[in-house]
Amino acid sequence: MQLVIISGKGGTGKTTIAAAFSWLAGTSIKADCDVDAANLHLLLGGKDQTATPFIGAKVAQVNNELCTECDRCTMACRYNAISGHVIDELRCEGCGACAVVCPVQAISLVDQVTGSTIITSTDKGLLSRAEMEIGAEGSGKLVTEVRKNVHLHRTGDQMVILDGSPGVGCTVMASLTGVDVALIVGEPTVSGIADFKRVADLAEQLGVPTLVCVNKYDLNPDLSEQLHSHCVQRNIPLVGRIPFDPLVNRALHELQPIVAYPASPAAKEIVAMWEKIIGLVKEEALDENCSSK
Amino acid sequence: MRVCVSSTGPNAAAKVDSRFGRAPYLVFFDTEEQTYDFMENPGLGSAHGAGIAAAQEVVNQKAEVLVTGNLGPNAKAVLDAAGIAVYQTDGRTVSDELTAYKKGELLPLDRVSAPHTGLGQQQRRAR
Amino acid sequence: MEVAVLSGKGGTGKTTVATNLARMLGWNYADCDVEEPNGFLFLKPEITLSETVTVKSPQIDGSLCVSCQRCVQSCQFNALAYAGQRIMLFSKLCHGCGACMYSCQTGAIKEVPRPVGHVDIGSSAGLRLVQGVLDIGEPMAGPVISKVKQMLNEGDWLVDCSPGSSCNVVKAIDGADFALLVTEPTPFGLHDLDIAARLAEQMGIPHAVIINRSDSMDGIIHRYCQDNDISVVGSIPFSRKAALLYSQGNMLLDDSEYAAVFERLGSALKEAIKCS
Repeated sequence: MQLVIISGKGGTGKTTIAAAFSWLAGTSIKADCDVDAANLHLLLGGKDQTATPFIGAKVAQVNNELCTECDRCTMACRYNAISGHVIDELRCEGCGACAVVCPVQAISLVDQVTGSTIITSTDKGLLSRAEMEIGAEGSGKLVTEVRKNVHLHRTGDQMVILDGSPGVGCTVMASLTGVDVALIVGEPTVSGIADFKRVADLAEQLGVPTLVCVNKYDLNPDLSEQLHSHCVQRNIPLVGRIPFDPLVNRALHELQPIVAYPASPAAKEIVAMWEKIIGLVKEEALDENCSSK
Repeated sequence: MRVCVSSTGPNAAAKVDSRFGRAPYLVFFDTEEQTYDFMENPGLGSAHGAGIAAAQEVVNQKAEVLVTGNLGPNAKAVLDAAGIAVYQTDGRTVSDELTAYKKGELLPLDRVSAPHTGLGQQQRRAR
Repeated sequence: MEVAVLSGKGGTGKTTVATNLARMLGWNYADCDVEEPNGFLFLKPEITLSETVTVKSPQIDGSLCVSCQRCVQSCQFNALAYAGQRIMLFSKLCHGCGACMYSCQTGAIKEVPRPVGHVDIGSSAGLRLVQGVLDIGEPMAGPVISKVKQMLNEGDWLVDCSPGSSCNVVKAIDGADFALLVTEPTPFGLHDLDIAARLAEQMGIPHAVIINRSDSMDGIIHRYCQDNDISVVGSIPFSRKAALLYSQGNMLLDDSEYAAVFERLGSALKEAIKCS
């Protein structure tokens, strides 16, 4: 099974939950798809085994010996990435429109290393992750690469836990496609609910089965209730209500997963939620077998 | 006639890759000449639209049949427009799949792999 | 004056800082976090104008097309294919760059607008407010962000950016006079602050830090800032009261204790900008 943890809004507790699940799942393989701000390795620790440069984009390059300074490229570029026959690599989208209009073939597209993909071995199994160059493009492809590395190292039906990225854009789509189930981590705030709706719409559009949990539900019980009724309306099962728990912050500072603190109320709820998800998945597998007969 | 198989490696003994757009190699087999062409899949290096790039290569290579595991909607649209028949792999080696195809043992892949269905009421209801 | 509010990590309080500072300083507010725009939930403006954001999308005239496939080869994003004697367009992959049109020898390609989101303009308590909203299922936020940035003509602006350091953040902070980096005193916050600081550095934008959810662990952020010669504008203490106000979509300024915090932050920010 492949389970992705997403949130829409940033900072709702995706990585805390992903780290806890990694701890609980035993022999799973992990992927940190939040390539813009990867954090899971901070909690899981471990040692990097391999790091591979990642060519994530193309960038235009001008051959000054051929350039006649006609400025056609500057006029053709829609990203204001060319001025004075020099390419601004941060702005260049690698579309090649400049190369098409250049009458003397002075412009070519060259590969750009935009980050690296890393395999880290941790106490709790392998972690596939990436580090991006600052301001680099193409993070959707990088997510795909991180997930490809998972499949290279996955044995049989091994469980895959993916820590997703915030938002509803291309990195989120790349982490959602083809997974078996998505867990949305919501929070009881007006922004949390607005973002929850957007990311739930996206999951629905992509046809990914969805579950929801509410983190810090007791910080605003009224809004938690509102979030819950949205879930009921949309037939999305609510699988957990995690209480606000100062131990979560302490665990973070000690770089430990919250479930390493059995007395923590948040940990108890996360454990219960994990068991519920596994139960639902098994039930579904049975259903599938029955219906395919 | 040319038959294309999505492959994990550049030889006939390699296993078929069930992915199409992101399979490392596309193998083209000529049934009259009994010859193989091994190409790197152009989809592999694409940030987006890998399936389209791979499908375009299959069209350009004038294959009439494709054997693979999963097909996205965009790739399917391209292959359909070119009238290329797609068959479902059983996950064996390239040469085994080609033999099975010649014997007429492979099933047509008519289902586009929508991201997996299942789990949760919302999908069940939709079925 | 354009001050970008960013953070490597999501959920550190960019929107809280940007909206409350905007109201405290009487500056205008622009939400460039177009995937998840939330500032309007707090500032509650009356929206006076809503404009659709479009990208240019190619349209192929089959009667002029000679099937040379130059357009297919020119497209770096696999948005075009040629099969069954016709050019096919996959519009969600199209970046609207124009390469196909430039490559066409017979003038068979013209461009038509395709909507990808919208920009809302409003006002609240005398402030001008702009937000960009990306349509669900559209992968490219860039054009919506650029449209928001075009609206920031005169006056002082606080620009709320998306988390991370990707192309979208680059677009949002491009041209900013100053960057305010919002972080929290946790190992995650520190790790991602470093990413944001390096981005600002690389783009040559002077910057300073605000510590949100400040507690007894602030030391890890202060140490980083000292080592990297970045000034800390101030901190916003954590409390359940603040969490509740935020959760309800209320401004922290509504609380007198936090109003005092933002007053100090506002003048410290102005000071930091002056010194930069």
